[in-house]
Amino acid sequence: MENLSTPSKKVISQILQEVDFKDRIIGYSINFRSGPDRISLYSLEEVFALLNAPYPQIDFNQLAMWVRDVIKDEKLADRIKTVIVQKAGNRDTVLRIRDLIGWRLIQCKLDV
Amino acid sequence: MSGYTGKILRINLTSRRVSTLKTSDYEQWGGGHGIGSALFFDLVKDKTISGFDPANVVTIMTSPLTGTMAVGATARTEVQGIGVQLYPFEWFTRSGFGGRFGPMLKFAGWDGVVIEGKAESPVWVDIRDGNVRIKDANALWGLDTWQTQETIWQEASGGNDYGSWIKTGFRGEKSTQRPAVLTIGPAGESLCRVASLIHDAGNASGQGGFGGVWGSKNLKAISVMGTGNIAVADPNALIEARLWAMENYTFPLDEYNSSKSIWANMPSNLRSFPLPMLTWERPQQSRPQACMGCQAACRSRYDPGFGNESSCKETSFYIAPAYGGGQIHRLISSLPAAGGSGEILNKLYASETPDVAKQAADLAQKYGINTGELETGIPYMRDLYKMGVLGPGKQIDCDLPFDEYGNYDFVEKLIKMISSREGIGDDLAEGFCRAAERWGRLEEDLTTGLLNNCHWGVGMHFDPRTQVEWGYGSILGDRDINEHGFCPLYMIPTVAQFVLPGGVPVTAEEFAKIFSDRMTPFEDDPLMLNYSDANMYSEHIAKLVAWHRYYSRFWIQSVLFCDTQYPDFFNWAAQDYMGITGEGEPKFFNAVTGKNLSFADGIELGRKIWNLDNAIWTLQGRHRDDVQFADYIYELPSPKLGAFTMPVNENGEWEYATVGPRSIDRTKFEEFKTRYYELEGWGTETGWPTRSTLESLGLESVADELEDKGKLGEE
Repeated sequence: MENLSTPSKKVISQILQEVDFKDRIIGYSINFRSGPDRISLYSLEEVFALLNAPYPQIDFNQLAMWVRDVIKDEKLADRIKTVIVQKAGNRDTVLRIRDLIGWRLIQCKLDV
Repeated sequence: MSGYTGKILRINLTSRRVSTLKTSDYEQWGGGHGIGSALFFDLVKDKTISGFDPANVVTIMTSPLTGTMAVGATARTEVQGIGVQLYPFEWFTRSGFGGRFGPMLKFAGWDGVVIEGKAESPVWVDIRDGNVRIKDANALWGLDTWQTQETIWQEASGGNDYGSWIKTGFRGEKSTQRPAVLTIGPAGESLCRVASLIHDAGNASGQGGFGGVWGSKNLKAISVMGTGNIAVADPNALIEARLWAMENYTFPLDEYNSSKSIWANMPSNLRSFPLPMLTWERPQQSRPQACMGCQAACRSRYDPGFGNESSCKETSFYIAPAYGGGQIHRLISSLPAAGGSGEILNKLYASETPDVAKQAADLAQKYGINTGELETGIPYMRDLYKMGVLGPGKQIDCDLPFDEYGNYDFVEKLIKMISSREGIGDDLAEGFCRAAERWGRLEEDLTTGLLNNCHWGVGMHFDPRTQVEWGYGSILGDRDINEHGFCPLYMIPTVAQFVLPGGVPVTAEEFAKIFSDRMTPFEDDPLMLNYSDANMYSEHIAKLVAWHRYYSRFWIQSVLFCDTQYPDFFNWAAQDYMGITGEGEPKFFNAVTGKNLSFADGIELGRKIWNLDNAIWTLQGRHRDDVQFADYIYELPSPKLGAFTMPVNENGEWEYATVGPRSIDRTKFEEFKTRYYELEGWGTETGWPTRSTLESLGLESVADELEDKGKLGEE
């Protein structure tokens, strides 16, 4: 992943595992017919899946905090923050954060 | 009686007596739901019975347009009776399904079927034109819905291949068509309250739990084959109307995959694209599949052979687990062996709807389970599992394999457990609210919203705190309304931010007026479409809710125009975006029936049907105090996320704005109910219909019965 050093084994483990109920983050996937589906997200993989859906909604700042405080990946959290402050619009922000998380997941898995 | 066959089939399973009702006795109600409600009112003397009581009557009704060439109204069928799914009351309710059952019933010479009583042992009904037989179903009992249909097709064909001649009547009538079969699966046999009726591969009558009702009657299936036709009053006018609709309100097929095509999947929107689904499916190799006579083809048959003919909640209820917990995890896990990271990222982005989501749809259809219940129920169970409350040896003992969440094994075991009432399946077969009640969690989980079932025990579809017409219509009625007529008002401005540079092509004021101009008799009040905080309990919103009830009760549920296409207010293919609604519905109705019904006449008939339904609920025991959302709708604000951008009018100025976060204020909602009951002419203390209102609609006998039971609303 560009400009992001490989995380420690401990952080890799955090990134690839599910969190507990109290640590979950909530997102929404909007569908034309079934409305907004509330989704409890228990892993970074699930966050990526939501952001890869057609019309995802998630609180970006809350996501950055979650990555920092729950997943304990400060570097990824900082990069998400950088995207947020650029205020690129909802759709572009979603795609950029999705890409960041996707690359991070790949990086972690290749380093396992 | 052009459009009607003139006969309704009446089957008493207790006495095994088959008789006929004259459609003309009920023709004033139009068709479908209107006739079904009137039949129910006449035939069920004690309306306080349980849905499982043999005296419960189930009606299966078509409309005069069923089986004709009317655009978007050829194939829906309406099912009614006392449902067993709703909580805490088993309301008289409805559900509908598509496919070819309705048309085939008409071709056989029947406008509908009335089911009464309970058979001593399992039976199925074999209808071949006017020849009706009640047959032993012991050999079918235990089969899934697909096996049942295949077995009946095989029997009907005399063991020959599909396409062979099948004798249908006494006078040598014959057909090469397969019978259209409506059946229950193992879930219905187990009297699950969340059991569906299934027809063909993926047509489900889900809400209400009519699968369980059929199971309680020992009725496995109804099979119908018809060789007749339907009298159309003015065939030229009908063909002209179809061509007019196709030319002016649908996209040319060569515009498929254009920038407009995404809007063709917008409910409600008359459309022509065969849609391998841009929104509720991820793009995948598929070909279109349509109900009989429908130009839209909103379902698909897929390359892998899973999920065929299923759509909407059926193919979506397991998407989030299957995608997030299953497919992405598998792709990530396969990384070291799967090539470079760039290639893998491309694979992640290109992820199609996982096959397992479609396989889950197939399981629900085969076992006959309502996927709407599973959509909120499965995430609820996972949350309980993650809380440490549910699992092996936990407070709620459950051996579902949550380490397989998102995979096939999990959903297969869940559906089998519910269908057979095995283990925790015995709780879940009662529906998630009743299950939570058994676990002692209902009050807490409906206060926190962990269990996202907000009205009558049914899962949230659109949020009552923001999409008020949806939520208010549901709680003032009997179920999640599942009527998408006003969805474009909030879906288009919301989705536009993702895909449409410049936003919606009309102003918020113009947008609201495009809708309100057709909402007779309230067409002079565009503030009905004002979703602002200040307006959410107003008399304007009362009119919006009332109009939606009237339109749906007649044009959607009685004439059986398909909800995926009607009302068509805002149409991307039409000049000035003005959809077909208002002009199209009566044009088709009158061409078929030879009547001279106006759009406004239909709305007034819808008001009459809505009043009859409220009289039935009143006789079942409803009081205005029962009309309450789950606590979290009052206690918690709607989420900021998932909020919709909608037309609002603040201080006289229209704009598109994101609505919420907001909750429903209990006191103000009570004031709204009073306002609504006043508009309807119902008693404001009770919510019961008044004699004067009922008599003004020609419902004197209904008023008499309410008076006999001491249930007339105060004037």
